[in-house]
Order: sequence, then structure tokens, then C-alpha cells
Amino acid sequence: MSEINLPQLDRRIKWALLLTSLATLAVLLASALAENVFAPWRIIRGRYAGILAEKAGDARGAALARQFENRIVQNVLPELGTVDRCITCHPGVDDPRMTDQPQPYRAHSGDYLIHHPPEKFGCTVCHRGQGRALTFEEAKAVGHHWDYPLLPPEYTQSSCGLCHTGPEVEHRGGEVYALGERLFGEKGCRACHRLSGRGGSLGPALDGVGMKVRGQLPMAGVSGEHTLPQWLAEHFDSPQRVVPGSLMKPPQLSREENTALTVYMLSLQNRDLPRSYLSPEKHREYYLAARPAPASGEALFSQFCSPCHDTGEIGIYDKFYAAFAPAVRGVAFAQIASASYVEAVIREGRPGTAMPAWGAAAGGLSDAEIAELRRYLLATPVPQGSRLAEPILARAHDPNYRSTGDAGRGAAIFTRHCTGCHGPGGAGLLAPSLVTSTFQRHAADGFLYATIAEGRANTAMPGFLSRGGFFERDIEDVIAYLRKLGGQDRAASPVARAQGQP
Amino acid sequence: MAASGLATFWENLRALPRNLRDSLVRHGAPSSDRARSQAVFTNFFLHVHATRIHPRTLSLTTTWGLGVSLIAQFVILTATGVLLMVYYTPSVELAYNSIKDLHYVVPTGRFIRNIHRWAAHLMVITVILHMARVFYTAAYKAPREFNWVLGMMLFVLTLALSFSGYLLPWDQLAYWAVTIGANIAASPNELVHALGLPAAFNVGDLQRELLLGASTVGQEALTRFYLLHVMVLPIAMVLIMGVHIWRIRKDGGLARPEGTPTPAGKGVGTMTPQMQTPSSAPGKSYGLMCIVKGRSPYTGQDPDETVPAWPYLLRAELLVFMITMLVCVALGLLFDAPLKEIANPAVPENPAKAPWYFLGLQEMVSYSAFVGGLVIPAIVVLGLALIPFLDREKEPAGVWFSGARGKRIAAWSVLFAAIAAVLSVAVPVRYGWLRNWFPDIHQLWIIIFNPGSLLTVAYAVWSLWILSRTRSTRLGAIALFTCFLVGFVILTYVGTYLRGPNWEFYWSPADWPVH
Repeated sequence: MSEINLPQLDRRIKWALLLTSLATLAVLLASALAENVFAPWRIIRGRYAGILAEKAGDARGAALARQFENRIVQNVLPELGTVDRCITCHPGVDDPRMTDQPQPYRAHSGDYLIHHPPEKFGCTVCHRGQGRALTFEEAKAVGHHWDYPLLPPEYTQSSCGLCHTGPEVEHRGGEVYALGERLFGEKGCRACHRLSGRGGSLGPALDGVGMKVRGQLPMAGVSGEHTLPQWLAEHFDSPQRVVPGSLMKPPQLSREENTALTVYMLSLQNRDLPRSYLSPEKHREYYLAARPAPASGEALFSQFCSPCHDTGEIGIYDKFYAAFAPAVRGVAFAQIASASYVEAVIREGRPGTAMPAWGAAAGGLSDAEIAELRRYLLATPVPQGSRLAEPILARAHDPNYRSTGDAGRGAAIFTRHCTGCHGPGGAGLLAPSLVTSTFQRHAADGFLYATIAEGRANTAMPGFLSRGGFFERDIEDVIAYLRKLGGQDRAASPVARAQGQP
Repeated sequence: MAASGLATFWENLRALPRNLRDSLVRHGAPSSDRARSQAVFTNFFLHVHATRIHPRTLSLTTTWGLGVSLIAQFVILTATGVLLMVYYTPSVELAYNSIKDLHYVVPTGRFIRNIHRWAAHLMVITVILHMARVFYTAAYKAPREFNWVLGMMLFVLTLALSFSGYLLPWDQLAYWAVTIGANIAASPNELVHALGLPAAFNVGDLQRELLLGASTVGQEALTRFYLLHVMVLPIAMVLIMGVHIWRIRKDGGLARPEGTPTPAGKGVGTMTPQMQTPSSAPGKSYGLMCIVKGRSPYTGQDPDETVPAWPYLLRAELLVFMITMLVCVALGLLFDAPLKEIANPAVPENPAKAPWYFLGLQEMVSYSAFVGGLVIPAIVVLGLALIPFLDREKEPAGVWFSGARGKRIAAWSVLFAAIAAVLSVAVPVRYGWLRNWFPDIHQLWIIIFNPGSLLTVAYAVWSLWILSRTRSTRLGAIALFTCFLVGFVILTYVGTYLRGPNWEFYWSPADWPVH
């Protein structure tokens, strides 16, 4: 070990002590300056004071400009759960003289602030973003670890929907939102998606979708910014690119429609806003949602059924799902289907097919609405030439008719003639499954008989008695086979009970 | 009477500043080495120092100032922590927003929080470096064994303090890191399940509930962690730290080899134990000094070798303090402490990572939470704590690596430990592990034979081999400790930088699949 030169060591220590102390002081000074002099908001407010002085027309205005304080200002709104400091750097939002200024000094566009004073609403309830932050990057909060970054301007109208209805704001600055709300109904989104308890179950429910956070969304297929609005917009363009394996049909939207529908999605926030913030129309909407007035069958059909069944008049081969959607308003169906069968299928759906259940517990339709829908389906006008023969119709609606065929023979016939579309064992292929419990329980033998015998006009289902070379006996055997496939204990079935047979 | 009373009062008033000072600092400003030594001896704040120290103490390479730096960091953390407490609210509704406000609007809030966060990380690093310094200079040898044990306690306390502070911001990072920690606490369940024991044996659930106050991280956990972080652990820390420093003095100051050459000589007065008794102090004090047996600071040493602690040591300590301060404030100015999105139990972080100093453990936890998270750490802490009791060779303390042979052993151990640690990661990454080779194997086998446990065994075998070859427990200890350090560094690096979503291996976070 080398000898220690004490005086030299001590001298070095003294110098190092001096230098580190000075450096520490310098860092403290830098920190103090950064916070108290060079903070961006201080500079911005300083410049704004200059603009105010420039714009001051009289002595009073000049005095006001001098009084403008360089301090943080904020709107604290416990009811909304927000603390918005945005007006610190945007002090001119409610000053009409500032319309010609660049951001951040410019006045707010439109007359929004007249009805929505910042003291009552703040900023982030509409624009989102991080209201507590004091720099633009952090307030915008894209990639800054904040769940709800600033909405791009084209999506800001989504926030109208928190307190207003579409028709209410359509001509008052909320046209994009209104269009989105309308599209949501017109495009039949509810055929697959539930919202407020109403809608199909093929896709995920949409309640609160506007509050989803980044971590809840698969972002791998999103090419733009990884934010919720961007995800929604790209998803509407190509559901399968954003969500691989998605069952959603691309909704075919124009650019404007895409933006509008994204806006509507963003408005679905499920937020518990104070009631006093909601417009009377919005209250009414909530009230009506809880107690739906019976809508017309046609309206219900277009909202919930048309995305798959189209007009329902012809059987449609859906390339997307590679399956036929039956012609539920077809001339044949309208003649042979019983009211109870149609209502049961709507209520319970057809498990194993794309047809979801629509009863109050599932799709959210009330019994009255289902009855209305059934009336609409069965009220299809039947042209003279399409009328089925009287005996067939009689059998179709005869509750006591029961097939007495031979299931073994029926199996052979079924395999030869039916499996091509209905799949081996009737499990469903292009055409619907015939073994599901709903179908088996509610389709009466007469209904099956009429369908097999006469087919369904305007669909792929041919009539086997009229053109297929079947004898009546063959049809009965096929029905017997179908019943066996269903594994149905006929004694307990509603059909059997209705028929009063053991 | 009245006049003289007034005069006295006036005199007293005039003498007030001087008397105040004299009552506060009983001695005046000391002007000689002897008076300064007396001051160190009688002053409450200075008396943890010896009045005279060996000049070697001042040399940088003796201790690198790590212990003093740790005290400085603890002081900085306490000061900034108290300031943070002024605004922080330990409630799940308010905690996150109070941190945001600290960050954005509270004067100096961002700076203070940054310093607190970086000083906490710095402290974990420094504790490990300090431990390595003490170990490699053999400063744990008798009579300092117990101080080493105290040091181990302080090491664990430092980690506990840092971890408990991790939850307080209530962001995603905090929530999921602590969820992992809690699951490790619950990991004895793994063994219970593997053995098929009834649920009544689930000690893990009990441990987790003790830690969290519930089965998941929530308000109860936040309250508990807050309490631990601001009260229980700091008090324990201060107590043990006090004993730790006190023991340094009672065990004879810094460890140093016998007969270290010194400047001796000029300007350094002679000082015998008798002379330590201040002339004005009552004779009893001298008697007290006599009671101190064997290990009193100067027994068996030549006082000629020493220099006064004031000013030399105090100045050096102040320098270490200022360097620490400078590092902390510079980090605080340049880098913002992380704060992620608000805690969201519905959105798991992937990968969810514990604080960096636990990522080596998490690497082992990925095979078995029980073995990697509880058994191995327990073995490591216990093994380290017992080193001074198992290595009792008498050899010069204060020499790095105890000489050239130790250096060679340490170098070989670095090589061995690095290869073993890299293999323990690379083999499972490349070839999979037991579950991939024998899909139907009983989980118990994986709990026992996993890369973490094999690595631990390899390190133990290596040091025993060194021990038996060199016939030196000291060299065996050097091998073991080096293995621990190298394993810690490598596994921590792997866990921090090379593990991505689902704890898969990636060469860089840039390769992580986008979520």
C-alpha cells in the first residue's frame, strides 16, 4: 500500500467539496429557473398579456391587461371528477376578440362555450386529454401514460352524445354525432352487438366502448397512432386486419360515415354524469330506453334482422359466414309457419347457427316487440301463383298431425338428398342446423312436412314432393329421422303436449 | 436595588447571543487538534466518530465512501419523503391524482419526487456495492461478524422500503408489480397443490392476506404499504443503522491490516488513551473508559499513527454527502420518475414486471414462484449472513480480495458464475425445460429441478470445490459471494431487458409484439 500524503489528500478533498457544492447549487438553481421562469405556461401567459394589451381599445382594457396574472388557473369540477388546467395556457377561449389569434391563444370555435361555460363543464369532459397537465405534450397525453388522450378534432363531437341526442344537436353543431347515431341504427349494428340491453350476441356488447383504454385493445394491426379513435376507425375499414379472426362484416362506410360512426362509438361511455348535466331530450332517451314504446315490426326488422336477412324475401347466401340466411319473409314461410314457432325462434334463437336469441333476457326485445316482429314477418303478401295447395296448408297448421314414418328409412333418404346442404346428421352446413333444441321443440311435424314437400320459394330449399320425386311416405320417414336426430322425448315436448298425445 | 437589577438585566440581554451560543455548543470554536478531538468526543452529533482516525480511512479505495453515501441517501430520502407526504394521500381514489398534482403543480413537487425515486434506486445499488466492498476487504471478520449480520438486515430493509414505496403512486406499474410480489408471497400454495395436500395447508394464502389485507391489491394493501413505508420500516432502519454505525466504533473502527505504514510524524500529536479524558471532565469519565474492554478504539494501537477526525474525516464525509447530493439532484433535474396509467385491475400489464432489483428473482419465479421467490432468496440471505461464522480464518482485514490468490479465485468465479447463469437462461430459452420434454411430469419435479435451483446448487458446489482445493474458507467464501453477485447482475439484466410479454425471450424490447 502506498503511503498516504495527508496534506495533499486533504487539499484534494477540499477542492472536490467546493466543486460538488457549487455544482449542486447550480443544479438547484437550474431547477428553480426551469420551474419558476422558463415553465412553458409562464411564457405563454406572458405573451398573452402582451396580446391583451395590444387588443385593449380603451383605458379599462389596458388596466385589465395589466392585471392579467401569471399564475395557474384551473376549473375544479368534483361532480365531473375533473381538474382542468387547460385554461392556464388557453386563457382566450371565451374571449371573442381572440378569434384571429394562433393557438394556444385563440378563442373557442363556434358558440359551444355560450352553452357550455368552462366554469361548469371544464374542457376534458368533451376534449378528453390530461387536464391536470401544464404542457401541451402532457395534456395531449398520447403515449404519456394517460388512459384518455386528447381527442383529435374530428372526433370531439362524440362528447355531445354524453348529454344530448342526435336529433337534438343535428343542426346545432353536432351533425357528425347525429349522423353516427343514425348510421348505428341504419347499418343494423344491433343485429350483432348489444347496447343498453338490446341487440344480438354475435359480437361484443358496446356499452362503455368509448371508455376503453389502450391495454384493452389489440393494437398490433393498427397502423396509425395507438389510440381508441384510431383503433375504431381502422377497425371499421377492415375488421379482420385489426382483429384477426373477427366475425364482423366490413360495414362499407365512406370516409365521413367512418368518422361519424367512430364518433358515435366514442360517445358510448357509460359514465355516471350528474343528471343536471343531461339535456331534457337525453333524459327522455334514457326513459324510453328503459320503457321502450312498441316499435313497428318493420322498424324492428331493419334494425335487428336486416344485416343478415336483408329484406327477408329471398334466401340469401352470406359469403362472409358461408351460410344461407333463411327467407323469413318469404312467401312460403309466411304461409306455413305458425305464430308460436316464429316467436319461439326469435325469442330463443337457433343455437349453433348465427341466429342469436332475442328474448328480453338476451337480445333485449320485449314479448310485445317479438309479437310485432312476428306479425310483420307473417304478413308478407302472397301472390296468387305462389299459394300452396289447400291440403298442404291444412297439414302445416294441423296441431294434431304427427309423422308415423320409419326413421331408419328416413336416414337413408336424408343422407342422399339433404346432407349436401344441411350437413351430415342435419348438423348444419350451408343450410341451418336441424338438430338444435329450439328448432326441434318448436317446429311442428306439419311445418316440417310442408317445408319438405313444397320447399321454400325464393330460397335454395327445393320442394321434394312436387319436383324431387319423393312420395308422401318418404317425407314422413325423413321427419321421423329428424325427430330421432333431435333425440327428442316427444312425450315431454310442447308439440306433443299441444297435440294431447302421450 | 432597582437600578442594579436593571443593569444586570441589561448585561444579560447584551450577553444573550453569546450565552445562547455557549449553551448550545458548550465548547467554543476549537482551535487546536486537541480541542477539536474533545469537541468530537462531547458533541452528540459528532461522537459517533472516533476522535482520531487512521489516515487510511480517508483514502478513497479503502471504502469508496459507500457507507457514508448510504447515510446521505437515507437522509435525502427521508427529507424528500416527508415533503412528499405533505401532498400524498394514501387512498385508491386520490393517490394517483395526488402524485399527478405533485408532478404538475406543487412547487418543486416534480423535482422532489424525482430525487426520491432516483435516490431509492441509487440506495439499492449502493447497498449492494457497500456489501461487496465489506466482503472483499474481509471486513466481516471477528470481531465484526455481527455487524455483517446487521448489514444484511439493512440490505433486506432497503429492499422492503423500496418495494413498499413502489405501490404508493397507484399506477399500473405499482399495481402489477405488487400483484406479482403478493403472488410470490402466496407461492407456498404451489407446493401444497403439487403434493395434493388439503386447502387447510395453504400458508401462502395466509401470507398474501397478511401482506395485502385482502386477496387482491386494493385499499387495504395501500394502507398497509403506506404504513410500512413511512413508519415501520424507516424506524427499524434508523435503529439498526444506529447500531450498525455504533458497532463500527466498538469493533475498532474500519478494518485495516496490522502495521499499515502511516505518515505518522509531523503535526500529529501523541495521544494515549489517558489523554482522551478531557482535563475539565470529572475523573469518573476516565473510569468509564477503563470499563470498555479489549475493543476500545485505541487499545493495542500506536496513537502515533492517527490523525484527528476533525477536520480530516468530517471534511471527507461532507464530500461524500455532497457527491451523493449532486448525483441525486442532477438525476432529479434530468429524468422524470416514471408514472404510468392509473391502476386498472381489468388491464394486466404484459409483461408485468417487479421492480428491477427483483427481476433476477422473477426470472427464477418464472419456473417456480415458491423456489424462485421464497426458497432461493431465503437460502441466499441466510447463506450470506452466515459467511462470517463459517469463515473464521484469521487474516489481515482491509486488504482487497485478501491478496493476489483471492483476486485470481474471484476472477475464475466471475467466469464460472457468468457461464452458469447464462446457461440457466439460454438452455430453457433454446431447448425448453422439463415440462416441454416430459409433458406429463409431476409439477413437484419442476419445483425441485428448475434452472434457478440448479444454478443455486451449481454455485454452492463451485464454492465448496474451491474451498476443498484451496483449503481456505476465505477463498471459498470469495467464490460464493462472487457467484451471488454475478448471478444477480446477469439474471437482473435478463429480467429487465431480455424478457417481454408472457416472459418470452427477446433480444430487445423493440422486438416485442405490439399489443
